[in-house]
Amino acid sequence: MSQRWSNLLVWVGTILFVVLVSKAAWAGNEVTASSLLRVLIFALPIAGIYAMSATGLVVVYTTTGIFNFAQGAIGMFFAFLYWQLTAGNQGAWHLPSWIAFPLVVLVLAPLAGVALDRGIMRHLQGQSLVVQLMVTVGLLFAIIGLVNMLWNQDIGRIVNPFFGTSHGWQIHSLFGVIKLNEPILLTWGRIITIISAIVLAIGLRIFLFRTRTGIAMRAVVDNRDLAALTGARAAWLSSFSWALGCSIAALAGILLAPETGGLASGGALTLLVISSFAAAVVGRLRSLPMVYVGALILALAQQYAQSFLQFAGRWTNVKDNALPTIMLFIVLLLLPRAGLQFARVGKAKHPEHVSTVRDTVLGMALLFAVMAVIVQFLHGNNLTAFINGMCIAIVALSLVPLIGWAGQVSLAGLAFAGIGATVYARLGGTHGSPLAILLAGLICMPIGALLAFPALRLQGLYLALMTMAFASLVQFVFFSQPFAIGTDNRTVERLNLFGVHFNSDKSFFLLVVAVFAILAIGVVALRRSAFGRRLIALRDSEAASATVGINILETKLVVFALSAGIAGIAGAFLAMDYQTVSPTGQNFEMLTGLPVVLALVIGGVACVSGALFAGLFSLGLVLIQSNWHLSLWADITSLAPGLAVLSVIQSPSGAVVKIGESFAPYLPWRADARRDAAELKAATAEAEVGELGVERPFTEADVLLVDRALGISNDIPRVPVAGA
Amino acid sequence: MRLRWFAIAVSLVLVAGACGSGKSSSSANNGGGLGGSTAATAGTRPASCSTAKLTSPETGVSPTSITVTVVADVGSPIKPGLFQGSMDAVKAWANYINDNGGLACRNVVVKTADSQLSAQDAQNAIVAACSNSMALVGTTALFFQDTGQLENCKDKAGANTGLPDIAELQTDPTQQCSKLSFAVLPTGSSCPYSGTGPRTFTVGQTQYDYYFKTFPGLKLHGVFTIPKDLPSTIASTMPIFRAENQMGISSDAEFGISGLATQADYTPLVAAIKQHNSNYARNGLDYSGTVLERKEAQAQGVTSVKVWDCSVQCYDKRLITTGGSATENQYVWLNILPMEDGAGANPELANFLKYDKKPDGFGEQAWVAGEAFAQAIKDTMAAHGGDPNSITRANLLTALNGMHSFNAGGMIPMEDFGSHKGSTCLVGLQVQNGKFVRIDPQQPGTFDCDNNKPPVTLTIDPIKEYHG
Repeated sequence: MSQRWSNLLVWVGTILFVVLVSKAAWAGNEVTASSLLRVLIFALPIAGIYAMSATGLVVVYTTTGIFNFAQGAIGMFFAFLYWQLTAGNQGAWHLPSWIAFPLVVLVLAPLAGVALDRGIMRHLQGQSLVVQLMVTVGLLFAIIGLVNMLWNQDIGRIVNPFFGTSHGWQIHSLFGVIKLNEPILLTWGRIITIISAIVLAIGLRIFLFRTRTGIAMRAVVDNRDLAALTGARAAWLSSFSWALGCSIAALAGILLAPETGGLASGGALTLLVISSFAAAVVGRLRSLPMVYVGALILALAQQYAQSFLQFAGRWTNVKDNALPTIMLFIVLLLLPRAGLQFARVGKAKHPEHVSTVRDTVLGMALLFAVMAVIVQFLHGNNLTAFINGMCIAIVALSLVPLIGWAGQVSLAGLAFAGIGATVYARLGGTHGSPLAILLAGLICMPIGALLAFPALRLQGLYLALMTMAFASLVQFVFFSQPFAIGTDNRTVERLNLFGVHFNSDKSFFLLVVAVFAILAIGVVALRRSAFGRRLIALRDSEAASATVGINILETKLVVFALSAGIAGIAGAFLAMDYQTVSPTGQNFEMLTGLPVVLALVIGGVACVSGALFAGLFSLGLVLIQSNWHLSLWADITSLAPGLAVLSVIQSPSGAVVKIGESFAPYLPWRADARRDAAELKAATAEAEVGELGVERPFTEADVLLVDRALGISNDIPRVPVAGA
Repeated sequence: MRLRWFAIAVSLVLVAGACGSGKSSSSANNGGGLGGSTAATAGTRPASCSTAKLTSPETGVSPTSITVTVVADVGSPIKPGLFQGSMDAVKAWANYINDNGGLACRNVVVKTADSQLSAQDAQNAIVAACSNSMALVGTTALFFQDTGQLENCKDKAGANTGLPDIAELQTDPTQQCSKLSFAVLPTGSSCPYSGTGPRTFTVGQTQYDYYFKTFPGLKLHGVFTIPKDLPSTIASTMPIFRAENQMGISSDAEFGISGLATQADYTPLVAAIKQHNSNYARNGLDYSGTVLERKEAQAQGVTSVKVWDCSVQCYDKRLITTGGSATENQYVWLNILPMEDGAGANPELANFLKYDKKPDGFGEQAWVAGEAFAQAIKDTMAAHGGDPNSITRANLLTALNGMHSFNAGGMIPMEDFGSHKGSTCLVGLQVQNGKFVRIDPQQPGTFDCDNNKPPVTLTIDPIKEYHG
């Protein structure tokens, strides 16, 4: 279908959707010019809030290429800092705001941005999208943890708006033509927010597109090496970009803090930015003026719904919570189809070691044996944590083929698990039916395949955002449907397999380990199959894949369906673990799913042992917190995902891969690892690569070594290395 | 996590649902009086303890100690320390008990379990408590949605007795209707309840009667704010609002507001107040929702509202510290003595303020939960000839079910604890000059029990009453 027709279809669908929803949910309020003007006036300050939040996102993305989930958290941190500097009570320092404001926005925030760039972000250059995204997710958690450590959350803090709370522009009518029943005050604080958003939109647009520095910043994102060749100082520009991004985040945090009613906790400020994703995408993450338009559309839609529509029962969450997500979904569908990505000269990748099925079977047998021993020493909460950790490992495993091998970034793994849990609860889980587990997987598969269709249009970040929107819709809309969970919790039983009940925690834990092992073996077998190689080809270059005859549609459909199926099965086991499924979708929320992806990235997104690591990582945090009752641990466990980000920077391919590479040469059956280590040793002992072909000729061995270093082929014949 | 954040923001609405049920007290309760009500339970260890051969009759009970667990949402990164006050208060209560002779010739040991705003962690905490504690005391877990683990808990003899739960908060009908769970301040909701469909609610008239007397001739009509993020918060708010309608306070408009709403989101609500010239406004969200509504009302120049109404969820110092002048004249109604009464008003309150170094409203209710446990232990022993080895979970449950007159030494109004029926007696506070000031009744240590008006009983489907 051509772009034009598909867009037309989306537009018609959207209009139909709006009309049908309006008809069904019409509250009966009279539509007059006055009431419409009120909607507009109500929407303006909210649009300002969304625009301000989204502006920082867009600027950082435009100038660094990184979509920063932590943008709201950074703003929250600086709002706390601003409070610390300005407030005259509770141990704060009572500086005048005319000193504190520029100090925070123009000095401290940019300095923090530079530190962030040098410490973390610079190391993300050339890394995969999922690594970049998850590093910012880790940063989000770390900042929340840091704020909790530094500022006692029991104290109510106020950041006052500029020029007070009750002064501003009293609106009585629109040019005297349309009169309001009651005047509405637009406070100076809100006017400043609206104007700041507009000024930022225009100013940054000019800066980024009309100034040499701005163009250079965008050029560095587009092609760092090429920009450097033309004289752009990439490192300096990167630092400047983050300084600018943090400065805008601080400005947004300080301006928006009064709207959140005080800084008792930074949660509201941190999460506000997520609602503004839709506005950012309207501007395609590039156009700041369009971001403001998007913010206005979103705010108008919300206020229209607030003023004229009623949502109750199963649709209760649509009005506020789901609306930004619905808009994000629609906007993403309207984006032009992504062109085929042609390969660039990328950073050399170390060839992946792909385990054989036999090795995996042995490894999984060993895992089961170890767990069978460990479980004998577990009881109570520790045992429960292990069960939960292994269930999470299965969720993470579902993402390995999709993200790790096919390169399709999905943030909806836990959402599919939630659907699986629901299916299990509805179709036999109340008496532990094994068929219900199977159905959980099977029903999730076509839903996953449906998500593959947007994946044909969208790539990279947009696809990730689409899956995030899907996860939010599952959370806010799916769970509360009568055909899903409805209004009350559903209790489920653990598996009853031909009369064998897995009611005890120990037997259930071993069952989950066994299921993980079987699925892991299956996934590895898939990786070593022709389909697995197609997935890798798809990840490396869709264009090349298409050229050699790989059916992109079919491959994506299958991998999305497969991933959703595994996640659905994981969901069934999570339901058995929790023994209840809630209509609020608790435990399956979109934001709860992000740490699962983060843990997988830390472990290694392209290997099944990375999934196991993800499960163990999450259970490790639980064990630390539940077994050591020190207040310090509470803070450390909040900071842990953020601290773990540092390991991602050190080893983007994953901690498990790094550990594996270190230990593999010592394993008797890993002759290949010993050869690799010897080659590496020999290569590093050689003269510098730069001399190759200049002062001394390439040998066949050199060529093969370079090929391997570039990851050109996974099956290059070994070169006998002297001394190996 | 986002949902949990919503839950935090609206959680205390569920406390607001604790609006009393059952019979109203026949006379104004002099909360300070220990005689005639359940007295403070601590005392010096009886002489018989020195001769008694103490055994370990129950899980969590050793010859030297009784272990209880307090399960509370504390360690969530998004809202750290939410119910830390509950944990601290149960520990403080245990110190108070131990300083005064202990219980059943034993010291009280408190284990803490952080449920972290998670159903799973709440379940884990119950599983752990089943194996090491005699009972749960001061439970403050917002996602305590499944009582299966509570009910399947076996006692030391292997019987399916269950784990007694003396809860500070009951958020879910499952917990509210569990025979093992006793709320310090029960909601006025009928049991059993399937979770869907009509339910009968009982709402006291005390605070409304005060308004009618304070503003004679004024026909109250106003704007109601419903916390809309969770079905449980809608379900606990709508009955109160419908009861108010029955009492004569009509709805000008009703708004469903999210716990993540910004102040700007309150502009339409405040515009409705201005449009209808409303003289009454009630916000069902937690204190921060009230702060946002009041600030927006102040900004928009609302002057018509005579009664800004709120329940116990607004009894938070942050209502004043973050609300500032905007929250002046805010009414707040409690079913427990306010800490502002001071140590002189009630000996039990004095003990609480002495032992709890960081007292707060949650802590106060958790302390009352501790006192209910102590009373039940005392009753158990009394029923078994003073035998300190009679304290089993089964006997504790029998004692809890038999506590029909309990007031924690006057810290709460007299209530039928064993029948899960609260009281309609309340204390009215108003924010005046940046402080909570007692306005009804003005005598510290007492409650207004509104003798003349029976509570309103209504049967509604609370979810269907909400129209978004």
